[in-house]
Amino acid sequence: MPEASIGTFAVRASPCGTSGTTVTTGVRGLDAEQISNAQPNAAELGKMASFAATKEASSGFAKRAKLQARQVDYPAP
Amino acid sequence: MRVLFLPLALVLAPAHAQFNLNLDRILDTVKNVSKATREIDEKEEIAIGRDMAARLLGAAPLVADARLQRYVNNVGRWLASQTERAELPWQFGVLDAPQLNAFAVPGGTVFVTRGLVAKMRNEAELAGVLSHEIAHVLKKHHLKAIQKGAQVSLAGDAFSTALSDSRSEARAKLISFGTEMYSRGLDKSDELEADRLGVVIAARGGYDAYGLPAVLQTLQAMNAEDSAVALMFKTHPAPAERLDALGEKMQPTLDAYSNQPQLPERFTVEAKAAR
Repeated sequence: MPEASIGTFAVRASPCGTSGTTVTTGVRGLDAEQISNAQPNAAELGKMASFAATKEASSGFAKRAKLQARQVDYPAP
Repeated sequence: MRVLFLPLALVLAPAHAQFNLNLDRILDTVKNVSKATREIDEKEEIAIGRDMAARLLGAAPLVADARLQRYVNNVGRWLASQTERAELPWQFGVLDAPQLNAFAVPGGTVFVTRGLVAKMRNEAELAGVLSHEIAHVLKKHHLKAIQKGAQVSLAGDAFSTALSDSRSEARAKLISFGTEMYSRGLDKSDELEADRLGVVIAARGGYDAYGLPAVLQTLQAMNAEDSAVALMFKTHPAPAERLDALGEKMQPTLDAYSNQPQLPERFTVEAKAAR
């Protein structure tokens, strides 16, 4: 894949290009004010728990895509 | 002399009592600080995290698509399993919000917004973002910030009460403070550390290590004035700075694991509901 340089960082150029600069005005959703004023939603929390995957299930999911776990060290702090 | 001594004793007595009172207050403060700085155990971390997650879900619900939610949970759980906190009750959710953002919650909960997933091109990019958030949980970045804030905002025994009593006013205060952190942001050093560890976690999971840098490139190409990225840009270092920092510290790791799978086909099918 071709490479482009941004600062000191050699990154690969995206085959699809960038996502553009579309301006989304007046967006409602997860902004700072909504986060501050939010009331807990226990029903959604319960729903979220029902979608959780077990370690074993996720291992099978990885295997189906031929993902292989690697031993990679964290960088020195 | 005797006449003089007696009033002096009377004057000194309250001063002595006042000194004792002040000393007691100082000792109380020292005790309170030590209470607020005591280690939050894992059970408490998970409980605080659940309360914070419920608040975030109050701001934006999950995308109503079980296939998408299960998919993100599988990717996230696989990645979390490659870490030193693999046994946490990890759960992942796609929030139904057009903004581009992701959130790590203490105890093993991670959110990513529909807006951000919609900008991704493959599973390696999703893995890169989830790994960054998982790294925040591993290093307890939010938990430590909450604890630091509690020293200032919770007086007396309130910190202990906040931890032990989920229905207390002190708990509500702690959760409000914790949730507002998502509007204020963490220290820059925490974000850059999560980027470095995130690259490693994605590589451990067998993904192309360039997933996270690719998402940062997408963000970099967006208009900073776009309201969809306003909060993300306010609470994180600029994408260019994050890319530079990764290039400086992580280039060998990125290059060594750049040929691992990206899985665009599976992503396109499973994450369809985010588009």
